[in-house]
Amino acid sequence: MATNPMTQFEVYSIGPKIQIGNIDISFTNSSLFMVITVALISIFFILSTQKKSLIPGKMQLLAEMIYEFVAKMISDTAGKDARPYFPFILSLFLFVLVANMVGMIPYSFTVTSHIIVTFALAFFIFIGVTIIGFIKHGISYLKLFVPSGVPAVLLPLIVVIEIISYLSRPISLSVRLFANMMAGHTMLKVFGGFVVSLGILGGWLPLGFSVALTGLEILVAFLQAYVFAILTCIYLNDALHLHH
Amino acid sequence: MDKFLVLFITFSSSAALAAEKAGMPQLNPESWIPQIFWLALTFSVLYLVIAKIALPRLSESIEQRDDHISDHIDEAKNLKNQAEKKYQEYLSLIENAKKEAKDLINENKKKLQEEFENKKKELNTKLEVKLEEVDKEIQSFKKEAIQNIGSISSEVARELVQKISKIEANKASVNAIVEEVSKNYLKELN
Amino acid sequence: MELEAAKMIGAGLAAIALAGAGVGIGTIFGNYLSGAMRNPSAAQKQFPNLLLGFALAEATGLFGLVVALIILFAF
Repeated sequence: MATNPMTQFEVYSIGPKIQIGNIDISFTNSSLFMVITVALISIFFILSTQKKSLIPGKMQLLAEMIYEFVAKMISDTAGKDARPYFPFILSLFLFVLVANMVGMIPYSFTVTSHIIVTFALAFFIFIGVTIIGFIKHGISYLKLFVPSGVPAVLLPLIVVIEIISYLSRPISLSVRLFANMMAGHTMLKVFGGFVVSLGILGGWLPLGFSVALTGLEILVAFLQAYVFAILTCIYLNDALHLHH
Repeated sequence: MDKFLVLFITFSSSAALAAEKAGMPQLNPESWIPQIFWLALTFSVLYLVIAKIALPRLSESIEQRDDHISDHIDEAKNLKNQAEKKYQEYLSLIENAKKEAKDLINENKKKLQEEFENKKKELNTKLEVKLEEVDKEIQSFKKEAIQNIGSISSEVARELVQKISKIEANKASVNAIVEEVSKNYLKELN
Repeated sequence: MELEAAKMIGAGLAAIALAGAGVGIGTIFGNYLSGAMRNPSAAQKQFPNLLLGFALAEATGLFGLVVALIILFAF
């Protein structure tokens, strides 16, 4: 084993130590890649939408395609009422997507491969969706846990299950993204290690695997961003429309 | 499949890892707070950029394009309607012209027919008058001829008698005889 | 070293969850394919649902993987 495949996920601080009171918030490599991700998205959108030409150029076309894609996703899953949350879902989708894609560049760091990042996002979504639900429906939002058409005998059990499944949403949402990213990157690293350890004679096979897996991981990177966004839309739909 | 491999690798490396420091960097709580802080910071910057700059521009340009397209479609519809109208006008114009031409032709035809009829009638009457006149003339000629035939034949008969018998024939008797003969002859002829 | 051995065994057991993920993904793709063969015109519309189902099924398996990793590394 050339190197431990887990070392790629290590977080280390870059530059000076920043502290607010007792809390350490120094700039790390993870922060650097978050900044890179946000900067890429912002620069792309600011540049591409600068001209607002009638016949779009390549950049503007891409930006509009992303816009239409996310708009369609939201209207398909959450309906028209979810329109005010469009900027949030678009930025969420783009953040996860670009973070995943930037992570595919060798020697870079994948922000979303850290459970705490994905969990923070998912927990924020969970809290936000719950607040929206309670604002929209008041206390009757709790009806979400009581599915209609269930016999009264089963009801206590079902309600407990529903509550557990509701509370496990942020966990499943975050762990899904984190586990996919971590597993994919670990595997790429492992195959890279195989290429080195098998040398010039035997290393070609894992190298080919590595290339194929990179393609697969790019697909997974897109897919997980898509799933993350669409599940957010579905949770939002539950909060907005309360049909269960 | 890939996940099995990961597991295999983690198993195989875990012995080595155990010797090193703790395995998963993700589970190191020291790195959590700075990550959450920077995530919140960067994500809110991203949200602001998207919500305040990118989306208004994008929706504006898309709306603008939609407006432009619908404007053009409206214009095209308008033009089409106009063209249709013009075409209808053109059709009616042609129809009218055709009608007029037909009317003109019919009128002329009628006129000619009438004229022709009139001329024919006139000619017919003229011809009838002429025929009558001719008929009368012929009749009178006939009468005259018959009368003349009587006198001429009596004259001829008298001269014949004179020449043959050297007798001065009585004019009156000759006439009577000729008349009788001619009467008989005419009777036979009829 | 008994604890180490128990950890290994526990992680191995937790990884069995991935078998379920395999079955689930296979079912999803198989059913999508048979449905798409029967009614190809409706296939394109259900493609996002396919991806969603794939991701959801895979995630349940990955939970097992995460449990295995936690057993190995976190304790």
